[in-house]
Amino acid sequence: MAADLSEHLLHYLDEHESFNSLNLAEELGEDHQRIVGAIKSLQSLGNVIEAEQESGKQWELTEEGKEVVEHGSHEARVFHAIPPQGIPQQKLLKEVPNSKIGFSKAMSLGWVKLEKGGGESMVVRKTESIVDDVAEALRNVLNLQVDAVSNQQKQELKKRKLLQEVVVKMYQVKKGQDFTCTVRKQETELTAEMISSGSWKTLNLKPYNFNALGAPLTKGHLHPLMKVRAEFRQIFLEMGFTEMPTNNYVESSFWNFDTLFQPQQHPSRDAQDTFFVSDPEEAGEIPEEYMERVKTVHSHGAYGSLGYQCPWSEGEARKNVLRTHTTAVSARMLYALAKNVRTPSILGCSTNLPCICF
Amino acid sequence: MPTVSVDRDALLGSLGKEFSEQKFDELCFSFGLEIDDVVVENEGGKEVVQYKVEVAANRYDLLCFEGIRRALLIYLGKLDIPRYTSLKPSETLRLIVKPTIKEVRPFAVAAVLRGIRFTKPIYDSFIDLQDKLHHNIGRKRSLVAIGTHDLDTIQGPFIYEGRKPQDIKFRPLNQTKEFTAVELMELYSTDSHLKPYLPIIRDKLVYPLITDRNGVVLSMPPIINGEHSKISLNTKNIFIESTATSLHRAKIVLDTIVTMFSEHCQQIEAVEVEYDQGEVVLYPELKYWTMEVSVKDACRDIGISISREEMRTLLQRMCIPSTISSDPDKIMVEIPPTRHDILHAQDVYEDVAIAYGYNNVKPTFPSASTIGQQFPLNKLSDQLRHHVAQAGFTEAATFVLCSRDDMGEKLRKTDKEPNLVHVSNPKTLEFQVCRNLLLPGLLKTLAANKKMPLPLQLFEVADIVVKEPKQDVGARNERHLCAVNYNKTPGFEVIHGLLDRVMQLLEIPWEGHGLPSGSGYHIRGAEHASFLPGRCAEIVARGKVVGHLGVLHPDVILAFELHLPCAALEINIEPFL
Repeated sequence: MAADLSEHLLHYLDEHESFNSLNLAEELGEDHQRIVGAIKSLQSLGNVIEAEQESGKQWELTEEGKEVVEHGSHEARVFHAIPPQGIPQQKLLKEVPNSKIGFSKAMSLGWVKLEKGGGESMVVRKTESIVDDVAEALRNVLNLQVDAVSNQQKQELKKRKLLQEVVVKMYQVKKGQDFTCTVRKQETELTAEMISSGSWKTLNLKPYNFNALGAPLTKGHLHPLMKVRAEFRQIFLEMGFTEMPTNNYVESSFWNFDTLFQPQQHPSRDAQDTFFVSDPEEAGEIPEEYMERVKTVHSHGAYGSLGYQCPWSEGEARKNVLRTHTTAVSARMLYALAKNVRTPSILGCSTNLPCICF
Repeated sequence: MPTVSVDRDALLGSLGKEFSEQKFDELCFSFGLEIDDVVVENEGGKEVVQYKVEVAANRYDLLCFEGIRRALLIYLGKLDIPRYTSLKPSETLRLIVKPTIKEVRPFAVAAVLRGIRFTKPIYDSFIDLQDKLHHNIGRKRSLVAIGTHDLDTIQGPFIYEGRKPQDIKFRPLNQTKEFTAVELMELYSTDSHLKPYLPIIRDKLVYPLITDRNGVVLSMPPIINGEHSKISLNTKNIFIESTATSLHRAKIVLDTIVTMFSEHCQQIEAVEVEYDQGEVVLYPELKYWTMEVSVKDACRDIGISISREEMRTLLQRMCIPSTISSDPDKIMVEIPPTRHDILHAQDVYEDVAIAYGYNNVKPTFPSASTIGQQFPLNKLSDQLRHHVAQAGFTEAATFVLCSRDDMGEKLRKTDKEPNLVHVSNPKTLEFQVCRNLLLPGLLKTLAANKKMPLPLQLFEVADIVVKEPKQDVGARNERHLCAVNYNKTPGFEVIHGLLDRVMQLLEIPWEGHGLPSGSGYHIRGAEHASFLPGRCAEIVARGKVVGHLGVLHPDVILAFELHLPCAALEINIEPFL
């Protein structure tokens, strides 16, 4: 149906060159919104039509007005509610909705009159029958026969809040660049059938909206810190470094501190600055001869150093800690390398994340 | 790193008119000092700016205003290196060390500063230096303690002994009546300033005590001095005593105090210290010692090329005078008593480098050409990480330390003797043990990200720690891969798919149909406390169990504050190297 309407509009355009949506709606007896809808779908086809938005005024029924069309105007209802013998005013006012308004209107129109007598006011008909002009006028507007209602009447009905003037957006439509009389549906995507049948050649594709984002993909991620670490490793490897094995978090104080000439009373070896391991508490094997040399350097000095002039405790060196720096591994490596002295032309590096993560 | 408070205007004024704040900042940086903080105080209506200068912990000569100013002036070439000497007067004072103190605090040194001119700032600086020395080299007075006394209020010879606490009675600093040592322990137990030092001697049979010939108590180290001999702004002559458990450190402390304040007094005077064997030693030591330094070696180690003369000039600026030796490559440096931080020729090279300016040393590539080598386990880990991420999982980096429950109860594991490495001094319960599984870390990560869209797929390739008696330290690391799938349905098939993919990458064929077992991998149903019964399998590769995968047991899910089903996988990747 919608397609039909669109095609209908195209044909109309073909004959008349242009039209106003509001007027056309009236002419065709169609709801204006449907016309607008049809115009919009024509717009989506590309440059088939050119539509300019305009504002115009239109007469519309209010809620009350719609009610009147259904049930009749208030005065008419009052009239019809009066039996031939009349009806007490009180009763009338109670029974008929909006009877106050209706009554006064009916009175002014000369449809009813009030008879007073015998204590109660009675309302009686004055004429035999009436013509409900108001309802009829409203019905005309509803059926888009707006011109059948005089301006004066429209204003009056507007005062009674049965009719209202609304601003309506309407379209001035004329032929577009690619005007054609037929409505061709747009395809959204190229399909396999189109390719195999060859129908793609005469395809009218719905344009893409390039102003939106694409579909989010399912993807995995590497951790940013790890990415940074990978970069460092790369740089060192490219410079010719050999990576050291740093996969031991538990280390003895000997390798972590003493071999690096860190004195045994240094604050960094305090309980609050290093994690000590309670299980396994002590390191077992430490190279004896090397330990003697380390002990000498710390306590008395050697190899050109004055040393710390302080007694050195083996027990302190055996204490296990959570490694505080990978330089402990460097110490182990240097010791191992020194044992195999040939031409130590090795650059060693370690890029392990520190094991104490806080 | 210790910080020293210095009066900005006093310091900049000494350095010279051309020193703006910015230039001073640059000077500090090149010398090796850092301005940590700037404090503006209002002293008697006048605005006083204090710099908090951070100095290296081994530079005892920079622990006070005098030291910093002197060092900077010498560095700028505006001051000659002073020569520190002590005079032995005809009537030398003596400090006698009794054997009674030997077991508690055996060593003592002493000196006199004669004719000192105190102003308020100098006095404050004097007190402050003692505090700094106490804290740093004195290791909070446990290794060294200092006492300074008004010499005109006491009479030598002085006695340093160990006396029973109940036999010690004197009027301590800032008190109006006398106390016994026992009472003092009580009195100071609530004093926040002195309380930390009480344990150093509290439980000993005898307490250290220094008295003069009339029995006047100078001090009870390391706790408190006597009121009688306290110094004031009017003091003209100071007797310095320092007691210690390390003679080496006591000597450094004494040298530091006298050298720093020698500029404010007429003379440093020597004091004799007599030990029980009758040996008498003269203090302060103020030792100057020489060391031969090779110019070539220094240049090579730093990476610069300078002449012998240039090096001597640079060292002069660092308070290290030198003479030339007959060998054209060598110089004889003389290390002054202000530079106790110099232990080795390398320390001299360092000073050359500082004077030269670290930023002036050109970075170069090593001249030796080597071929880089990856550590195989890291290479494998990185390869796996990339592929697991490509499969759509997000990498997490979790803590190595965790609570015991994380590894036990929360996983429904009830081992009496779990294979866990324990930390003896964890800061909080959260860091009691080293992890022996990656899974709990990932579950905690999930719990922190419940608002993220589903499915949540996380993984980690990292080390766990287990005890290992065969290792020299008793423990070893093991590289694991762990992955979890958290969604409305557990997704066992997803995790299983990941396992298959990983095995494919490792070129381990599936032993599903027909392939003889032992050369590839297969999974077989198993019961595991952390997983739902019937929904758990162990992974067998080349005949050995390398890990587990399955749907987590609801108790585990709830224990980690999660509420959706979760499938997990954890394997040891080291067998695949």
